Amino acid sequence: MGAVQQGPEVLEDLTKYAGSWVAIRDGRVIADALDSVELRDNPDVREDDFLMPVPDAGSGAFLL
Amino acid sequence: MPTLTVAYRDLGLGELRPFLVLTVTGPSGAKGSIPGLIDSGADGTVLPAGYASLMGYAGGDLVAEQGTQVGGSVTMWQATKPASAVVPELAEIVFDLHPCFVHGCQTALWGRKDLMHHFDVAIMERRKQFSLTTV
Repeated sequence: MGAVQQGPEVLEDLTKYAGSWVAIRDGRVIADALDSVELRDNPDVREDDFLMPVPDAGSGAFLL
Repeated sequence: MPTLTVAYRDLGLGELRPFLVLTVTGPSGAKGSIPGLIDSGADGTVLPAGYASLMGYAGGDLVAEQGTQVGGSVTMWQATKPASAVVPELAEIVFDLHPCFVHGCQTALWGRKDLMHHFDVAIMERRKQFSLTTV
């Protein structure tokens, strides 16, 4: 058995951001926006922050 | 052969799922971490459309194609230039991604053609883990 993947972690409930993009740093939401470019261009967001969309129905079953 | 074990993780939505974080570099050199689900049902890499701009893809780098998802057909924007990706803990293997961007897609999917061409993937649902082994 080899390495075990660590972080990045998300330490807060993202359901209130459903449908938006969020920037995560140290497990916490630093900023949110309705689209990815608006989020990237937010001066509070750094290049090494972790950017991701938050699904609309995150608490429901995924059928992909 | 190196093996990486990855615990399912909850990305803030209250459910443990098989997410793998890849470090991805787009054709413009833009680099970032993307969490995606291990998905053997996806033929290739599928990304939410918003990642296209973040990775440096322009409209001319994408070609519209029709795809099929569980709910019916969908227009996908296939990248004509590859991105590159690495599993941070297995950094010796850098592989190409040929992403399809889909409007309305809200979770990245690491499908078979890219990630699984370079790693054997084993799902251990009862343990809430999966593993990647270099091939």
